Amino acid sequence: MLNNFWRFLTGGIAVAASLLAGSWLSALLPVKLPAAILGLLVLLAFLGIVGRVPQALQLTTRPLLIHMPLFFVPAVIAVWQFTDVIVANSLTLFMAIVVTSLVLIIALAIWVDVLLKDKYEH
Amino acid sequence: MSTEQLSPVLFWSGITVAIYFGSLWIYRVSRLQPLLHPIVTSAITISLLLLSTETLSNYLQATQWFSWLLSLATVALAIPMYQQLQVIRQYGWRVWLPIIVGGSAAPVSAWLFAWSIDAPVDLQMTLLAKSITTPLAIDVAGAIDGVPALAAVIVILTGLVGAVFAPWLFRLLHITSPIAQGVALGTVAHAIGTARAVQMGQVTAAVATLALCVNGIGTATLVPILFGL
Repeated sequence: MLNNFWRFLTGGIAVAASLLAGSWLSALLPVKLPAAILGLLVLLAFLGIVGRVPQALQLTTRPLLIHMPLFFVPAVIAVWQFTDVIVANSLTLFMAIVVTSLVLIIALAIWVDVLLKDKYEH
Repeated sequence: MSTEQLSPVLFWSGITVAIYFGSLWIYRVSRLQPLLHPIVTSAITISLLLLSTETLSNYLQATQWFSWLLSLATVALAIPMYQQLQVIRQYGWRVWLPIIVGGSAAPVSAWLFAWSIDAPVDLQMTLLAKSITTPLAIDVAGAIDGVPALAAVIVILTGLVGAVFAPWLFRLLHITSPIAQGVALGTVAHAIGTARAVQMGQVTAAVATLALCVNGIGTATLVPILFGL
């Protein structure tokens, strides 16, 4: 039990340190990139060097990943602040967001599916 | 942080977590009905609790730290991506090319529609930031004379549409390949789509994460060049 607690803590520190490194890199780079994406690349590079996923990292990241949708809830609720803008541009937003996104999802999924089947056939 | 500042944080965070887990239970009981996705039901339930604008701003302030947790979860996506690097390497350009083409087509198709119906120019510009992560979209929209606040709304709604309807479309079209599903979700529905991909399996999550990174980095690098920022 205590062992798992320390592993969880160590994994948490590793993820937080990667995010911190990402923020630091983001401030240094001439192109503005999100700290979280840079942090992801830092952690990926670390895993590449270590050659495996340490148990501590697996323990910490599992709940973070499984419940990732939870962290979006406040951002989704924030959309209510802009109901007047959404209502004023409802048709454009509906077509541009809903229709084009769904069409693109269908097109991309079918395209990749065909490409993968093609690879197996050859 | 004083007790006065801490109590709304604990209160609203507790409410959000409790409602999320309640929504997750309903989602599982409903056998994963897309329209009952926990993001949708949690947001609707909490919104009903927040009927006045004043309460809404208090809620958003109290739950600001969720964005930090979201950043940690984004960093954690490195784990499924690392575990599936072999799969990504194996399929090579068959994964990369659709991600790049789809990442370009997403904002361009939205912009083309807005342009064709003669929508206001600032709305047209904002739509160009449609399929990238929220912090980037806000910066990009501001830099190309769009509306930053609206960019955040468009990105969130795009992600929701993808996360809710994509699994249903995959079933309808018999798209069973986790790679095809991951490319479509990560490319079009960015981080919310990737969060959905995590629930669908490791390969789907890894490919969606790759799409999220490629599009985020590609847009942040190309937009300043294309628009001379």
